[in-house]
Amino acid sequence: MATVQAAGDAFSAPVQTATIEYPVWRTRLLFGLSVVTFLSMFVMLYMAFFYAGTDAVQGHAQRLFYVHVSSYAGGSVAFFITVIAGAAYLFTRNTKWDRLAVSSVEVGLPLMTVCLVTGSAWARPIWNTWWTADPRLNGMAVMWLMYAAYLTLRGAIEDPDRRARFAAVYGILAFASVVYVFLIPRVRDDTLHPVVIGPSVANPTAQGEFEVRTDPRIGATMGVAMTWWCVAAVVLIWHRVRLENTAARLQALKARLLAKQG
Amino acid sequence: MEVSTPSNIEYMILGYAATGIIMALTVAYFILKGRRLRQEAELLKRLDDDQEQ
Repeated sequence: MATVQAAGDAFSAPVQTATIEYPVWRTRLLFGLSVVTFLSMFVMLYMAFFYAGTDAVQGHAQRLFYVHVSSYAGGSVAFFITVIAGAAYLFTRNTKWDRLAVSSVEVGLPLMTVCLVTGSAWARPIWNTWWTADPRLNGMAVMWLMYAAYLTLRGAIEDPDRRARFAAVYGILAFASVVYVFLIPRVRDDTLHPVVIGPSVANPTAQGEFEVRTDPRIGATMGVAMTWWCVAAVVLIWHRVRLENTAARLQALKARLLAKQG
Repeated sequence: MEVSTPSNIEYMILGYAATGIIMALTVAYFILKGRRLRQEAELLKRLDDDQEQ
């Protein structure tokens, strides 16, 4: 009888059925987290629309920052998980890490898309342009393309071991682009992009700063939004990993059926 | 000099609507993928049962 490569609890037994038995507490935790995340989304939206107040200089467009900054944080968490999973795969050669890595990219990419789109919608009224050749913006576009290429290139490699090895190394190296995007307005003084959180160099060219450090309502809303997007990223990755586990189980079942026929 | 708050609510709506659409598409993709995998599992189970017979 064919057995699937050992890859955690769900794959430790010989493949007999397509159903994967997870511990009940884990399934309940995932369900609970999903419900809490969905419901707390309304709290976040309430804070962004009604609690934080309207910025006197930027108007309603400033509210986009609660999504723009925090979706970047959520996407960064997802891509960091790809780094951890990639390194763990290279050390252990356990395919469960490869499944976690690809799941994290599939979640991180839409979050970074949200960051790009909301940034563009904010830039139009504040900078008077949808897009400009700024180091931060161009770095963000390159990062997005690098992770999109991760998914495309994975699909182009047939051999599962080679694909997992390649993806692990690529996922680790690609994270340099996330760090670059984070650091660039903090170290350069010629970028248009403002620094919302954390220290930065004096940048006279930055346009669109607001009082996140001094206004407690803006700070609290930003904090809640960032927490929400990071938790949402983890919950989505967890769901996505389960799908990937099922897909791997089905692949093993197919192999067993083919072997029986042969 | 007094500066009036600009009226740009349409850009806020555009950004939040785009966010909703992107996240809804992501969740829908996961749901559809899960459904397809369940259908595939049922098909494989039937094939397995047929082979047993």
